[in-house]
Amino acid sequence: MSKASSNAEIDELLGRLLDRAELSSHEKERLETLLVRAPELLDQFILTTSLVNDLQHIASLAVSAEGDPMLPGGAPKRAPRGALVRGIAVSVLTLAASVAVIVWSSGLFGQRAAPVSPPPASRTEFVATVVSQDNWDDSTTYPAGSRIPTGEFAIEQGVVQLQLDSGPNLFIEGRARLDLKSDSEAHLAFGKLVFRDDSGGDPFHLSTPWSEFVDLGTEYAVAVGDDDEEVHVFSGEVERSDVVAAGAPSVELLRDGQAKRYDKAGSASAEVMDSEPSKFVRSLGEASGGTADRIIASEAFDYTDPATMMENSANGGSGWSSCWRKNVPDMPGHNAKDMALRVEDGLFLGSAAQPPLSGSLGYVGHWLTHRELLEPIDLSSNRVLYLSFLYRPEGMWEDTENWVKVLFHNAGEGVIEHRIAIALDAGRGIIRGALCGARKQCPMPMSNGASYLVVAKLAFSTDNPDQLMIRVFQPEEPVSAHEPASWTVVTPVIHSNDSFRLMTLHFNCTHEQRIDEIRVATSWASVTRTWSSERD
Amino acid sequence: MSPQDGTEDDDHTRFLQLYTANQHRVLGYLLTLTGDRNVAEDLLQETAVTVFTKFSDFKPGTDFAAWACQVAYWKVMNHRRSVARSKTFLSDELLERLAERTVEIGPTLDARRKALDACLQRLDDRDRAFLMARYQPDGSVALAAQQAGRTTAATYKALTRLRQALRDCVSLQLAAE
Repeated sequence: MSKASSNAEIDELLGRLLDRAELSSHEKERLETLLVRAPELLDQFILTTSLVNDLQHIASLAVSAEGDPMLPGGAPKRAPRGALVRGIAVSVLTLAASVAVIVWSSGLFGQRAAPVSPPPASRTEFVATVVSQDNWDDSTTYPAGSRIPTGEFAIEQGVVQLQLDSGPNLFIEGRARLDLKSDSEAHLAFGKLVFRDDSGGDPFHLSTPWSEFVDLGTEYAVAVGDDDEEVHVFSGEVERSDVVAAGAPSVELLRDGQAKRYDKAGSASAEVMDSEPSKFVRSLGEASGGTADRIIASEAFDYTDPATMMENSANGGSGWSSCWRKNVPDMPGHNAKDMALRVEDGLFLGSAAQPPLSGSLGYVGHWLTHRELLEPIDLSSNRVLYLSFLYRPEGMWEDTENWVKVLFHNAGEGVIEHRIAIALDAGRGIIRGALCGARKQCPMPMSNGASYLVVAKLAFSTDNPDQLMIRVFQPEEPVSAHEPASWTVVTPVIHSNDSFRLMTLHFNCTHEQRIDEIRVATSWASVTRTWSSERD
Repeated sequence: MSPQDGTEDDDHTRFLQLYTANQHRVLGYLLTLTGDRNVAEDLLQETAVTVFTKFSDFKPGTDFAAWACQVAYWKVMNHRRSVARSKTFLSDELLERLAERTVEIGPTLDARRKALDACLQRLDDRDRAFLMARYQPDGSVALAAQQAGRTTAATYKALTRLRQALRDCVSLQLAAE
C-alpha cells in the first residue's frame, strides 16, 4: 500500500471516529494496524485530532458578521478573527469549572480509591414503561415507571398497563405471555390484551398463534386461548390477517363494535359475536401504580436571610440530613459578592400556577453547594425515582461556560462513571443527562428569563439496566398528571449498583442561572402535581 | 498546595495562569486519546481536580503541560478500565505510544493552533461557514449538511477534505516561517 493511500485511509477512519462516533471492530483493528506500521501516520492522527480540538474551540467563540454569537441554524458570514486570543478570557472560566469538582474529590470529603470497574454496558433495549397495575404478581420487581425491555413479558396474575415508547397503551391480563419485539410489534402467545392508541402514531403490529393485527387508530382486545382466540373492536378499525390458514392469506377489516372468534381454520370458520367490552380490563385506577406517592426530599429555598446559603446554615425543606454546604471557601472563580439566595423572588411556571412566595437560588460565578439526602439514591434496587426543579436561564448562547448542573454522587467521588448529572448548558444551548458514564444530550430550546420545569426520571433495576430520562416543559406547556411517552433526553442504558448520598448544585456561569422548587419523589405525580394542568 | 513559598492567593493565581495557558493543549491530548469530545471534556474536569490538588508536586520551571498530560493519561486509563472493552478504540500499548508522541510534539501543536487562524481565513466563505456549523457548540454533521445543502455522505467527505486542506495549509505556513 502506498503512503498516499495509507494517509487517505487514516483520514477516512478518523472521519468515522470524529464525525460519526462509530468505528466497527474491523475498522478499529485496521486503524491500529496502520498506526503501528507507520510512525508518520501516528503524527497524522495526532495532528488531525488536535486540529478538530482547535476548530471546536474557534467555532465556540465565532461571531456572525453582525457581531452576534453564533446561533443554531445561522452560520457566520466571515471568518472568526482573533478567536484564539479572545479564548483566553473564556478559558479562565473553564478552569474554574474544572477546579470546582475538587469539592467532591478531595479536601472537604476526604480521599477515595480509584473506582471499581462496572460491568460492560448492556445491549438491552427498553421499549415500554409500566404505567399502572392491579394485583400484578411482579409489581415489586417492576414498580410504576419501570422500564420494560424487549423480550418475553409474562404475568401470572393481575393486570398491568404498559405504555409503549411509540405511544400506545397495552393492558395485559394474567395469565398471559407476550413477546415484546419492539415498541411497535409484539406477539401474544396466550392471555388477554387490550390495545389502545390515542397518539395517532405509527401502526402497531400484534401477532397471535392464528392472526396478525394491525391497528388503524384503534382500541381493541384480543383473548388467546388454547384452541381459539377472540378479537373485539371497541373503536376505530383493525386489519386482521390469517397466519396459519391454507391457501392465499386472507385479510379482513374489523370495525368498531365487531367481534369474532377464530380457530386454526382461520377466517373461513370465524364466528361472529357481540363485542363485549366488559370481558376485558380497559383502564386501571389512578392509585394503582403499586408505589405510594412520596416526596423523598424537597427544597423551595424559602429563606428570609440572603446570607443563609453562603453561611452553610440553610436547612429548609424536607428529606435532608444536612444543611446546604458550599465548597472550599476561596475556590478560583467563586463570586463572593453573590449571596446566591434570591429572597421572595421565586420561580413559577408560566401562568398555570400562582407565583410562590418563597425565594429561589440563583448565582453568577463559580460555586458548588451540596446537601446530604436522608434516603440515598440506590441504583442497586428495583426502583423508579423522579427529580423535578424549575430552571431559569440567562445568557443563552453568549458564553461557552455558562451552565448549572444538578448532580447525585458521593463524598470523595465525582468521576463520570459514578455520578448522575443533569446539566443545563445555557452557553451551548444544550441539556445533557449522564448516568454513571452513559450520556446523552439534546438542544435546549429555551429563552432568557423564562422559567422551565425540568423533570428527570431515574429508573433502576437489579436485573435490567438503569436509565435516566429528562423531560423539559416550556413555560406555557401543559404538564400532564401522567408520565409522558416521549422525553427530551434519554440516556443509553447502563448497569450500576451505585448508591448516592449527596445532591450537588454546580454553578459555572457568567450570567445568572436560577433554580427553584427541587423535589425528589417516588412518582411522576408527586414531582409535577403543583404544575399539572390536571391537578385537583 | 503551593509549589513555592507564598500565600494561598498567590498559589491560586499561579495555578490559574499555568492552567489557563495549557488547558487547551490538555483537552487536545485527551481528545486524541479518547476520540470523543464529551469524554475528553469530562476527563479534563477530573484532570483539573487532580492537578489542582497535587499542585504542590509540580516543580516550577518544568513543563506544566507535560505534567498535566501525565495526569490526564492516567485519567484516560482509569476511564478505559471503567467502560466496555468494545468501546475503547486503541490497545493500551498503542495508546501509550500515542500519548508519548502527543506530548513530544506538544510545542508544535501549539504553533499549529496559532497558524490555524490564518489558514481559516484563506478558505472561501462557504467552507468556513460549513466548518463553523459542524464545530460550533450546538453544531453537528446534520446541521452542516442542511446549511450547505449537501447530503450527509457528501458532508462527511467534505469535512475530511477540509480537515486535510487545513492540516496541509498549517504545515506549509509553519515551514515558511
